[in-house]
Amino acid sequence: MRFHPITTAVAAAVLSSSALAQGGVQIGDAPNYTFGEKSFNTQGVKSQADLRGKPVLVDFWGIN
Amino acid sequence: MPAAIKLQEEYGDAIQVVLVHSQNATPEQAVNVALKAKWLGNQAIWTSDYLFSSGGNGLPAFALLDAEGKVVLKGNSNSMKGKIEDELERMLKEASGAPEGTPKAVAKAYSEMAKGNLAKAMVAAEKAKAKPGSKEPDAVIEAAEIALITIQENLDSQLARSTWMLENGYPMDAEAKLKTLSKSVKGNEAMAAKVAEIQAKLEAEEMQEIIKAAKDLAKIESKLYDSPKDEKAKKKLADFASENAGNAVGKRASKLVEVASVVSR
Repeated sequence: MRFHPITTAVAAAVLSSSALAQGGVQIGDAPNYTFGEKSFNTQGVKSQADLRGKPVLVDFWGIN
Repeated sequence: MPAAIKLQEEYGDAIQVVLVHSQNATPEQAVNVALKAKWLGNQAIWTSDYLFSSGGNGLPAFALLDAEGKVVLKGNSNSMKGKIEDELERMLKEASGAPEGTPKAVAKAYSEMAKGNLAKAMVAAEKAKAKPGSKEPDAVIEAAEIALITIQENLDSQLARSTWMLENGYPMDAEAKLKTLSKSVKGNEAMAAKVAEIQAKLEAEEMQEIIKAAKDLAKIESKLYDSPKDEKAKKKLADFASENAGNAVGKRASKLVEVASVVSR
């Protein structure tokens, strides 16, 4: 089944606003992200595109 | 040790763990905590950048992304530790990396790519494109063309990372990556030529000094990661950084000096 590009764009916008409303990524979302200069041990990984093909576990932690 | 780091050590290159520090501290302070806790020395990436919101309440929280970059699981890192491990196991066992709905004729290209065989993946995709069969040939051709682009992007990304490693003071990592890539592209002349081009840079005479410096730094790093409070190791690192100030390995060392010299809050 093919989706019309406009329908897809509208659906993506709805998904995106829904994700924002709920305050974060949702299951099924594919977030875009990049690593800045201050990131440590990136070994040349600049964005999620460089990690395609392997599972990625993003762990949010705090010092306190 | 946070479970995520343990998973990185356990699964090695098969997965990528990204630790996002999301409270009020500088990037150096955050990595300094990791250094002192002996959490460094593996492949995990540490960042204080805003990647995306976990959407959870409180820390630690996580999002597990599949090979296509889609979130498959999220929640509290501690209470869902077992579920993360189960899901990772399932993904690594089952995932061929093929997007949902990929015709069977093209799926082989993705499974070869997932196994690290880029040349074989290319052959499979080209075969599917040339002989799409009589059932939905247009869909097979379209999927095969997407697979060919994905394979090329995969190679380009790995070549770019190898080049980055060479230019940023990680020659041994570049060497290991290029060795794996060489096997991966065996049989495809165009791909092999691209890999060989970067390998030649690694073998260049001017690179030998960088390789020696990187080996020396690896020893200092190893000592520091094992004994983060060892003042001798810290001094050795600082001396190394100033002696190598003009090259990429020295730049790497300086970054670690900044991390190691953070005064506890």
